[in-house]
Amino acid sequence: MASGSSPLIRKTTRQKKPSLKALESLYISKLKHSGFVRQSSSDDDNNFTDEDDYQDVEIEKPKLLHSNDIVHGDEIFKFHTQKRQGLARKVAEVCNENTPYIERRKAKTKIEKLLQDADSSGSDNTEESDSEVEIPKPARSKGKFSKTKLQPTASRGRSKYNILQTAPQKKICTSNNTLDKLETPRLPQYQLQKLLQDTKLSQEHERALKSLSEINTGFFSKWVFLLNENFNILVYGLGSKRNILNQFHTEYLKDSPVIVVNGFFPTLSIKSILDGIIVDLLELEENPANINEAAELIIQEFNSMPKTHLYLIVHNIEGEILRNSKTQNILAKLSATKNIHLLASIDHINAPLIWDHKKLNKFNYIWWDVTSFSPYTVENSFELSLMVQQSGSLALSSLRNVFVSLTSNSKRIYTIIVKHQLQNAKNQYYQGLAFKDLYMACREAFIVSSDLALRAQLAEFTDHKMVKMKRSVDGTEYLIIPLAKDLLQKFLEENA
Amino acid sequence: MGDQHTVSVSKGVFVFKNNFKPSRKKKHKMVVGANKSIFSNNLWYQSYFALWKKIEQDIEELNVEMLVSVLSDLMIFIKNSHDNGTDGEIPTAALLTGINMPDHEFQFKALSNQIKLTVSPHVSVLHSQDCQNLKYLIENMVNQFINEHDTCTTHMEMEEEDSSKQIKKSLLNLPLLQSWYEDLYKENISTTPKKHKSKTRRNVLVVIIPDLESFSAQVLQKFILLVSWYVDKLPFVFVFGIATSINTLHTMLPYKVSSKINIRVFNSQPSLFALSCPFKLGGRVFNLLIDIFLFYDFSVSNFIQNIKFAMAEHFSQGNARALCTSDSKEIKRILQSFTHEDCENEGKNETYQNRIKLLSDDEYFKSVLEEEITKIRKCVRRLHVFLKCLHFLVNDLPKAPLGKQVRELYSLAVSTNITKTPEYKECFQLLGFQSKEELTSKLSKIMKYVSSLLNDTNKPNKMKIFMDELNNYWNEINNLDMNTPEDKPHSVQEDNLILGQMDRKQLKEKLLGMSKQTDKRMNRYENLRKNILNFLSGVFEEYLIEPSSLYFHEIFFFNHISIQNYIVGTHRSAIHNALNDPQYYLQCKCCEIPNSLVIRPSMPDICITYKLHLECGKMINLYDWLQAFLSIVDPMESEDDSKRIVDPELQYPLEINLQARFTQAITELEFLGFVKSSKRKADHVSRLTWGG
Repeated sequence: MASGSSPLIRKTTRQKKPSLKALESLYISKLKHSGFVRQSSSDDDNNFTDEDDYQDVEIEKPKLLHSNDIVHGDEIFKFHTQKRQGLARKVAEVCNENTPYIERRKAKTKIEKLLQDADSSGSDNTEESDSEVEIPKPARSKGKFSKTKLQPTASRGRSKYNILQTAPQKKICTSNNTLDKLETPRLPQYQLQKLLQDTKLSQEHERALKSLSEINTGFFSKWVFLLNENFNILVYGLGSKRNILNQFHTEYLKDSPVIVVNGFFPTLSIKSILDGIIVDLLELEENPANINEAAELIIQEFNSMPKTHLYLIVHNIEGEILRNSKTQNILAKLSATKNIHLLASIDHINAPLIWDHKKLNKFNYIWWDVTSFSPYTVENSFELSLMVQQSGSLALSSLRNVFVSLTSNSKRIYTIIVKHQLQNAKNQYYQGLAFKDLYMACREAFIVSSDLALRAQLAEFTDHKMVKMKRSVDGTEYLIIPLAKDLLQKFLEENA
Repeated sequence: MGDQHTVSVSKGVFVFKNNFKPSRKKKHKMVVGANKSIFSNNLWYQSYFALWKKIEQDIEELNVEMLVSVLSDLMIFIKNSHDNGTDGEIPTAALLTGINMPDHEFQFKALSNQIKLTVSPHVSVLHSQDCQNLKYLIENMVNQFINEHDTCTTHMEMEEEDSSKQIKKSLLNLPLLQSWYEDLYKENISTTPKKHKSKTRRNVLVVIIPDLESFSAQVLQKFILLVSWYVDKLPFVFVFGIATSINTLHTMLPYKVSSKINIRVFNSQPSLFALSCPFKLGGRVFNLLIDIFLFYDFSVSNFIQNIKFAMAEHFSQGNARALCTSDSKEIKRILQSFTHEDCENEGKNETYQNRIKLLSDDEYFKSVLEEEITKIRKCVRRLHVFLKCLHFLVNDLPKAPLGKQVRELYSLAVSTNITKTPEYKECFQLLGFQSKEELTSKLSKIMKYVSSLLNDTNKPNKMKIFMDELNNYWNEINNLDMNTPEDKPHSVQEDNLILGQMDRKQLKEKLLGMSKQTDKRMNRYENLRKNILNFLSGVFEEYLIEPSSLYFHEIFFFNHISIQNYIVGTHRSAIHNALNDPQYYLQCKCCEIPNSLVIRPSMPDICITYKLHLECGKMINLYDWLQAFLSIVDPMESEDDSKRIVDPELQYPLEINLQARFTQAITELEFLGFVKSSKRKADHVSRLTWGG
């Protein structure tokens, strides 16, 4: 209580207790079995202001908190000591299990061969990548698993801390295979979608997924109840949850205003959400630019009409744009309002980290596991994927297509850039073709007459992402084609 | 409204108005209590709603009570802060609140309300998120002072309110505040009699900063310096909420700033709570909630929300749960309105001896149910009373085998029969060694508690009998005081015996004999103590029976541990589980696996790719990964590897199809955060997780 003006106030009245460090280690060792070795730093003081609780040396442990997790924390978070087998062996193991004997023997000999090859193939990487495109046979005969030394051998025996320390320095010990070996290294988006439409699940899985979604939809009326009790619902679990939320939307939220937000949408902003509510829904004239004020305004509005319930459905509330704490604060503020209800989904494994307990308190989530196993088609249509041919970067086929439609002069300009880049392919620090040099070259070839005309041409290239413009430190503009050397070579040969 | 309407490449927010019309007239007052829910027709909902309202009220009261002690001191401080000059220093109250952020909002709200009511109408609460820089801070503060005041002053000044609202935000600054303030009190001075000096009439301007730590130090420093210029003209008082320790204030503010403020420290109390309502948590759930409170968030409001959820879950199980009220008339009424299905549903859950009759005969069922319910309620009431008594007895025993707090006793008592536990026996053993003073103080506590429950009813019941017995023992123990002299001469005599002359060996034997003797023979107090303890133990054994042994206890006790997953999500382990063992969710025969390391070709693509990536180190070669995937999904083609690749036309559809599937799986893994593309090597991805 008010105890004068002395600055040292809260000394807990603990008597005989070991040092905090000792307690800490004790605590950690106790938690260890559950796999949650949390960061229990020395400011535990504050955690345990409840003095009666603390007089004993014994630290109270959670009795039930970790008892019924589906998965033990060990399995997810611990450093695994068992030897990793590597992809090749794993595959061999799997294949051996359910193939007839002959197949198995074949696979076995094949894998043995592969492993031998893997040992013998040492440092012929440069040749390999050069010859890959045209003459696949010799390289291919090495088969699928040439050099699958994915596990760095050096770190095996060491303790986990050493791994952490040495991680940045150590060399990557994986094979040098690249996707260029494939016929189509990266599938374009449209083709991918077309292909995926054809894939079918096994009947049993089809049935299983159906019953899974039936279970999930069975909870809908309960969701309505909970939402009306000022809880917000957060759905998680593997698989896209869009369909389920949409279904809920169509079935149960027909009569109230609903805002659907695609959190995975790349150019979303919190302002657009607030605008959606203020301008499109409430049709207010004033629309403050400050998001905090806008949120306040919305809350005020909804407080004044307690009978309308607004439902906010946010797919992927942890989406790239919504991830920052400011945005989450606004969302939390909104969803803490009595008649604004939030239904959100998360997918990223670290998604819950975006909320501190203050926000969690405002969100007041009820967590719901709605594992659906359905593919994230829509969610990923915006994501720049590793294997998908990205619209942002350039692939040979699209280059071809654009190139065909160019005027002859443009073609010649482009070829100059390509040639220059190929000439300098060996140069590790190739910055690109300087604009000035290009201009001179073009003038000499009577392609363009003025600086401006060339720039107009280049604008077209950059629009189609055939060329990237970079400005170096000294202010010179450099032009570079974002395409691998071999592809460029191929392109040049085609158009020679 | 379906899928196709919420997919767009140009926008991410979709508004569905669904016949919603924004009402132009804002200021219609809402009729209180008109809060209807679509579930209102359900019996269980009515009970739930009524009960929750009551609990909410109780909690509110508790909170207010809790705050009163802190607040009263603080109020006095604020009131008197400007009585005797300030010398350019701003009086400041530092409220040490401890880390418990979510609850604080509530506390500070109550605080500002209290200040508004009792001390001064000028209160401004500044949150760090609204005050990124000094400009916003000042604007925010002045805005709150001026506008809030206007809303406080009644409708008389409607026009004025409008005009003041038109002051632009950018114009709000301290000089404006000053002139506004002087304006305000000039009026007062002119209207009030002269002998009231302006100084006493002027209300202080209170600035509350609930989360000092999250403010930027620079803004705060400037703010304090700025305000210190005005403090002679405008009576400012600061209230800082500090979560950690007072040292933060010193580290945040340099000397030149801290010299401007005059700090006084207040400690707020750790919060305590107790609930009484017909709805009861079963032992496991109770333990769970306590665990979450102690080890997760330490937040009372979260705890309350969790209880609310448990309640919601409990009541939504069906109409039978509507019986969970405290009013016996209510129970009768609800029973009347029960339909046959309700009876059947409830009857199914039970293991009552006469089950068939229960299910077939509604009337019989209802009568049984009513009987049982009264039984449970009686039992539970007694459980609480005697648990409290037991708590008085055992809470300060060395090492506290049964725990120090009522909650620990409670959780034990509702899950098992507490009198049969070894801890209970240990406790009574320990009680058997207690001195008279300790025992009497404990007995008096129990008596006080029991008699406080008894005062109004006159008819003899079991409680009364218990009380009478206790009284008897109490008297006896007090009488013992008078009797003790009788004991004493006896022992003195013995002492004398020792004093007689004898050699060492004799003395030793004598002493040995004496010690044995005293061991065996109990004095009167010890006898009495034994009796008392036996009596109490008997009473406890009779009344402290676990409620789960009674029929229909489910109506009152909620013990579904499964709510844990709803309160604390297991997001990551759900994903892990789905990926590692899809059969857990799919329940199909084809994906059965003996241990988590096994891969089946029938598994979903993403599971296969995930399991393969577990075999890799930090970096993964996409090409190898793809090949591994292909050979698992489609092992038959392995026959002639080179041939297949040479003429792609033949195998093209299959090959490309599988590649598409692989691509999708990788994209999904990336989306889930397991891998990300790496620039360190061409066509490699890096793993983002450590374990399996």
